[in-house]
Amino acid sequence: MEGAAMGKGRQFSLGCVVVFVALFSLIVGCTNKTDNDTSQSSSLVMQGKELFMNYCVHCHGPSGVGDGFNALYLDPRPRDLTDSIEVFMGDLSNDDIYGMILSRDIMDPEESERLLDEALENDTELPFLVPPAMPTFKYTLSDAERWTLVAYLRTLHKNDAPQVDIPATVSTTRPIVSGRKVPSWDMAEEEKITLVERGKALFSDKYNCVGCHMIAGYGGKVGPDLSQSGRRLASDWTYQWISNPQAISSDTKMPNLGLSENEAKAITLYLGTLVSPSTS
Amino acid sequence: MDTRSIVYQVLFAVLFAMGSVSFVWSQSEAESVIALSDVKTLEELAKVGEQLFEGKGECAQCHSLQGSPSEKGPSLAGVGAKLTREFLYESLVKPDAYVYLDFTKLPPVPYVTPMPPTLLAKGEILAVIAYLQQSSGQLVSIELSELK
Repeated sequence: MEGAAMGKGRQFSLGCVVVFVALFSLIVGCTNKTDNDTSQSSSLVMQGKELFMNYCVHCHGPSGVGDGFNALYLDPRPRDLTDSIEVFMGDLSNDDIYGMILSRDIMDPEESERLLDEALENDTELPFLVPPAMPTFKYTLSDAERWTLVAYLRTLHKNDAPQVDIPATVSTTRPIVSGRKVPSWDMAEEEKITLVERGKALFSDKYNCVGCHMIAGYGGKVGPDLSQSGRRLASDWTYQWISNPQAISSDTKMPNLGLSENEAKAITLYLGTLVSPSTS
Repeated sequence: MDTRSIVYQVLFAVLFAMGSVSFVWSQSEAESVIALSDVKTLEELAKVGEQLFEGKGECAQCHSLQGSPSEKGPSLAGVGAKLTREFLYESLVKPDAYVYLDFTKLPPVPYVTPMPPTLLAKGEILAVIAYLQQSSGQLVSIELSELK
């Protein structure tokens, strides 16, 4: 009798344990599922945030309102990504942010070269080659990385855009510019003068390098003051660096601007002429 | 004599032996130091430069060539390729002529400890530059005749 009672008791507690385990795994299963969904999107946002903090924060500011320390040196001022005063970002589609902003195509080098030469020849005002001050990240970050930036930017302003989802087909490798052979710096004085002038125009008007670099007291402060680059920097190094900064320093804030060989040569020669003392 | 004192004596003997060996070893290391006046090749010059970088020049106290970020001074990885010889020389003699900022900080700021002018002599500075150039994969641009 006593034994049978014990058996029943055991059966009951065993039953309780089974039911409890079943319920518990059901709950855990469900929460895990939702966890997976949110953790996937939050991990995209986190990756995007990390990139933002390296490549964007100095101009757009830590909260994205456009108050980075370098904003002071920029005209136009950096975009307020939070839309606190006017709605701009909120009206853009995810594709707009990805394509028009982060992956913007800079004018074809041959086309800009032609326009510059024309202006230099006719002694007319140099054409302002690319309107927005912000560099493209097309040549610096992988397609997937630029999408993670979209995911992060979406958390900064009100919007009805669908949640960013990166398909497996999107490339995760950064664009690679193979090591460029340094050109010869021997050339006729006249050719050098033309290239230096072209380099100067590319530096200030096409690629807006002054947004981040100061020359003789004018320009931004994200990167080094280049006022003395002519006596500081070795031309071969400058050429390699501006052609592909990430090949020399993988985590540098300087984006790869996608310079053509001719453009990199012209800008290197221009920087080589800068020897005035720094005023900063 | 109890066991404990035997153990102590053996331990002492072992430590003494280890100390002597390391002393003799360090002496022999010291002997392999090349004097600047004995330098016959650019490789030897760079070797002298390395010894000065790590030792007397005290460069390694704040800088490394490995590219690892330091709080004290900028990494010197690749500077032998990046910077001109003239500017490297100036940086050692007149470090405040152009102050390289810590660009990992927002906004970039000078490193906390300003670099003091080097106490090395001209030939020794050239040796350090040779070392920086060599370790950046560059040809050493210093002539041995300049050391005199």
